[in-house]
Amino acid sequence: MDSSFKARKQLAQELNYTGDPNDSASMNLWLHKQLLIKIAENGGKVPPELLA
Amino acid sequence: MSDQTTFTPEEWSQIRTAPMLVTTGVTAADPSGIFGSIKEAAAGMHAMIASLQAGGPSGLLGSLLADKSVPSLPDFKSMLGEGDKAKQMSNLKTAILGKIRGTLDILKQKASPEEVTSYTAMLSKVADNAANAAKEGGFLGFGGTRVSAPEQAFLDDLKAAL
Repeated sequence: MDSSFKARKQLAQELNYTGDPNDSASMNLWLHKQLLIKIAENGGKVPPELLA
Repeated sequence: MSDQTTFTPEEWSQIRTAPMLVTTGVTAADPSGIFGSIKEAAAGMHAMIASLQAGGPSGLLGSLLADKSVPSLPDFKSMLGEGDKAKQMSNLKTAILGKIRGTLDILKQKASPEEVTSYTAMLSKVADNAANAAKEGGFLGFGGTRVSAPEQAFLDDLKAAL
């Protein structure tokens, strides 16, 4: 999986991020929050769609 | 022994989200790529669940394990505050450590000393697992370190707060 900033921006977009994608600190934290929520919703496991 | 009814809804939410804030502190200390971020978040959550399961079905840890609802996480953006990136990261770290200390203050007032010890051990394990989950630095998977200097600095500050 591409771990570049571009890939993070793309994932944030797919998860409906509405903030400024060039504000990397805010976007990274928003993305991290979504990851935590999705893992919590999936009983502590990483949802398969995040690994696709 | 304490359980969910021992605490106000706000306190309970704070107790539930503190382990997640710990992983946030580790991740924000030295951001990895997407895969690294997923690994760190998952490793922190796995450590939390393993600690809760090891704590048995009753008491604080058992009650946390029994609550399957998705906790409401704070607004991280507001925790960044103003300033350049370094200042924002410093603000975030200060805010997270403040929330952890606040959570421990609540527990020290309302939970047993044994429960406080188990809870702080869980936070420490969550932090260690998250920090060791992904490599920072390196290139194309080569090189890099498991626990980078910024992550270690966060771990040191966290453990001093516990």
